[in-house]
Amino acid sequence: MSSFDTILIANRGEIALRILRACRELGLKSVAAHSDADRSLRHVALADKRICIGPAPSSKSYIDAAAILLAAELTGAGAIHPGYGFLSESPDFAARVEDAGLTFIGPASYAIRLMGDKVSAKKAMRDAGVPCVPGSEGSLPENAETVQKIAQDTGFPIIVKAAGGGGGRGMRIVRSLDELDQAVALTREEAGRFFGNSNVYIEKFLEHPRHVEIQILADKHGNAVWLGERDCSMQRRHQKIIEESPAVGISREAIAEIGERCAKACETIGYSGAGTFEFLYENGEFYFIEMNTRIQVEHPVTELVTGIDLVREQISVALGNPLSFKQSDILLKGHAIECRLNAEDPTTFQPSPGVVKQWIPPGGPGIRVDSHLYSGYVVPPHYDSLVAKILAYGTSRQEAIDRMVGALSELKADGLTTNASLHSRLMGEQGFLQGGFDIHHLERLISGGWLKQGAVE
Amino acid sequence: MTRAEIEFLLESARTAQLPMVEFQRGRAMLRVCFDAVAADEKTVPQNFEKVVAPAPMQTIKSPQMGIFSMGHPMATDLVNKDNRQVVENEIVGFVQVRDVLVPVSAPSAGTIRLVYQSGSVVGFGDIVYEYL
Repeated sequence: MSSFDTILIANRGEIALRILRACRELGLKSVAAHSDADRSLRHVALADKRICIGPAPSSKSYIDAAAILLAAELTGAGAIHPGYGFLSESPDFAARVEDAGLTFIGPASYAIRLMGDKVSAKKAMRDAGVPCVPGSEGSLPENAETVQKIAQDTGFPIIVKAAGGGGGRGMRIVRSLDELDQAVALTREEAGRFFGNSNVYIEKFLEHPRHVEIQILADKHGNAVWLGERDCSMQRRHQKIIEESPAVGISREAIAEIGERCAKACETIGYSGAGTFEFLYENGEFYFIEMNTRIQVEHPVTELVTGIDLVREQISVALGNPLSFKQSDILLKGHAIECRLNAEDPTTFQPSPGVVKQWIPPGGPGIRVDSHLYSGYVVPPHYDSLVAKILAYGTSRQEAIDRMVGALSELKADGLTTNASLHSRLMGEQGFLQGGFDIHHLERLISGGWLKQGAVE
Repeated sequence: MTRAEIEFLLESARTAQLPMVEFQRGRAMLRVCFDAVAADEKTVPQNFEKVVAPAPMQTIKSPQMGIFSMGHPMATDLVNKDNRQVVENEIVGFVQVRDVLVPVSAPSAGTIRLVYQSGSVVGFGDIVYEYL
């Protein structure tokens, strides 16, 4: 049984504030571990203790494992919440936290390692009965002829992926045999350089897939539940922009079947904590692509349709408590949409850090805003451009969309350039309104000149 | 020096976020630099700091997180270093990071006022003295 009364928050921005609020609800103390550029963050002011762990660059602060462990030692924290990004999916960091006698708020390091390597993750999922995209059984061998045989058996087009990759990096689409050798060599080289692991594998490339993911929670007593799905198909360059739940046009029976398999897989691998199974969905079939072994940016979408506080439950599980509900207690109700508000130009997508002269978040029935912004805050240029998550909930999808349109029109972030106008346009875009679009939808709109047709300001 | 001792020193120095460690034995020297930059580090636009940062107040900042002390922990003749004159580069305190003591130096001459008491936990860049 884990025991701690103080959590060190090893992250920044809106998720750090979200974790702090969950700590407060659970009666736990919080420590804000922040970089020199983040002294003015809201959660730093609200935390019970705060400590600056290093300079602004994340390599010297938020992803410096030694600095975070030292901060925990100096402040007496018994647990570390990594949030998302940074060290949240580093098995080495999780292992160091465990070795230091602290609690890592997330799965055990062996589970992160298993699911972090896409090859071992796919094998574990196949063994647990979760459907995967057809392709190579594990990493590709060195022999070019064998690789060609695997590619031909899979059937072109295929995609070559880095085993340790993610976030759209380290992957190449190959449409014919004569492109194969070079694509494999380039991906291997890139994988070694970016991820320190040059293993690559092949998958069938799906032309029009949707991105549908299943949220799970598991405790340390062998219980695991699934909490519905999120459709995250509105993406640009593999980065999610809008997420919603439930997914339009997919039967509840199909979701329940895949959800049950995900929960079962968690029990099989001994997983605990929050996690997400990501799938491509095409022609009525789910294909596992990867598991995120952490809380995700879009977790509030699930919180709105289930009424369950995922971060609070994640911490409770880390304390050694059993899940506070059973699968049969989880009921999905209504529809939720999340728009990621980024400090970036809505047409060029260039980051746009700077001073927030006036911040007035929207409100009203069904609106939730997760943000660390306040008037006078300076968005630093060193980190991700996400500054707020605007969520709208409605009894129907249309009601959620209508509320989101109103929320976006209310929102005021003077001084910052944001993508709010892009979201406003997307709320009225025909493909979005219809639902069920694929992951290339936004890229197709952009390449077709859609951005220039309207007044995205 | 044994391999284990070198590894211990390297880990201690890395934890203390020292940018570099040098070993010297006779005429041979080994220099280890820790200043790595992540591949996905964000580029900071030029002039960003100038645009958003207020004019800095003259202060002495902690070079590392750890436990601050006004003098060397082994020193027996600790003087009150509050509200006193210092010269440029004078060591005005230490930050203890596990087994490493990192000196805190005055960047310029002047009269300084203590912000943290000895024994306090300080973070990187925290102001430990202000110039009067």
